[in-house]
Amino acid sequence: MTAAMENEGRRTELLERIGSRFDLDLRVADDGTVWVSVGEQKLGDCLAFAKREGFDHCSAISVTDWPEEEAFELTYHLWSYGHKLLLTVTSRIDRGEATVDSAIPLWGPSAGIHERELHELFGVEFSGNPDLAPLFLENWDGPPPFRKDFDWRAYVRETFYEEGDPRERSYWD
Amino acid sequence: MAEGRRAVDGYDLYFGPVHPGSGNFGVKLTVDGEWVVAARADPGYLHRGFEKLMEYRTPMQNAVLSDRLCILESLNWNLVHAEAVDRLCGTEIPERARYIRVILAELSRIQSHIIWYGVLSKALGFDTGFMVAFGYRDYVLDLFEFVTGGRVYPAGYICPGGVRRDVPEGTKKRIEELLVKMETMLREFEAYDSKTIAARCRGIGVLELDDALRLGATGPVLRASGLASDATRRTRSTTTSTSRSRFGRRATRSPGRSSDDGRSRSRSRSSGRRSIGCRRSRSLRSSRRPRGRSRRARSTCATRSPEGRRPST
Repeated sequence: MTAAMENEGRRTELLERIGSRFDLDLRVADDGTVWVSVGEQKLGDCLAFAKREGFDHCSAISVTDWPEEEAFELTYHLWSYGHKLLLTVTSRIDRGEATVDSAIPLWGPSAGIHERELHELFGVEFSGNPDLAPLFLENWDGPPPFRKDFDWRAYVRETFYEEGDPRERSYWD
Repeated sequence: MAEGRRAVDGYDLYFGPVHPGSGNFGVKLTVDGEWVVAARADPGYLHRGFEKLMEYRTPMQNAVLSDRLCILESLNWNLVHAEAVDRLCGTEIPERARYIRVILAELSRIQSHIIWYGVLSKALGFDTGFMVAFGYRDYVLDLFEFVTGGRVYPAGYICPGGVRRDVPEGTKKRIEELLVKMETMLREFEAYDSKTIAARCRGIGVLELDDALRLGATGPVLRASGLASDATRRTRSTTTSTSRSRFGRRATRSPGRSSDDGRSRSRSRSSGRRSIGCRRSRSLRSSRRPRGRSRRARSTCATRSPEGRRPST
């Protein structure tokens, strides 16, 4: 058996384990990634399970805002050096009370910095993260600026331009 | 008087914005006299909110915007954006466009490594290395200008659906000429490698493998800490049954390397440059270097050595 076939076999076993644990039908997409969508209640379990299965690198955490559905979609990109596989775990949480457990106990500071960013830009609370201080913005007291309902064009116009100034009039047209 | 001095000890100092090699950022320092007791990075100077800017634009407009994500490898950012849109739309990319994308992304990556060499040289106080590296980078930028119309920013050349236009006639020849120049560049860099450069890297910024994993290090930094991991080879299996560990294959440690330090990272990058998939460079390396050429290279480095004498290479 070649190393590639053996690796493929280990991958398949892994996917079956994750699939049966969380009642999902998993398969590797054409680009070599695996996508998993779990409910908010199962998210913590699923991430901990992935870490135990060797997904040692938390490549990124991101948030997608779905204002019409009153939801934030959290996306965790996890990489396994052993399986050479990118596992993407997504979960929708309530946009009104956006609180989720921090992934710092699993991935340490590499998860912490993403959570700090998402807390600032989307207003998601990561309980257990000791450092959610603003990362990029100084003296910002507006709403989390990456939420879809924050209109930065209107904000810039009203904050920095005068409607009565003929040179800045075009920004108001 | 002593009381007065104590009163000014222990204060906050804003250091920055600074541009240490590449990227603007600041550091909030807490200092006690001349001792830095705490430091906190402030990366906000370069955060331009691209995700938000893209919300107001169409994918084709965003292709142009995606150049600007990072000056070091703008074509790769083009590619990332285009691939994301292609996947969302289920677009099938013509084979020729796929090849063009990969060739340009790889040249962009090589160019990024050259910048790394230049910036490292600058940090080491070796300005010649910086100048030479950026000089060679210009050859790559010449090619980008020829193909995309833009030197640093290709204006969304790699766009959703493929590329903006086919490569102009003569591109293949120019790429081959460029790769020969890259081979010359590598030889020149090797000639610069000296005890001084080694001394300024060895034992500096040691990053053990456990720390590298904990902090989420990737690419050459992670490889230098001892783990063979390469995103560009993601789909290929490099794991063998005999050498497999928990994390896969361990990188081969270079002989004489003492730790996972700046020197090691420097070597890791150099090997990255060598594995650039340059057909020409492999054949050249395996051939014996002409004696006369070797002398010329040495006489060049005698005047360019950071330590002011001929390096003992």
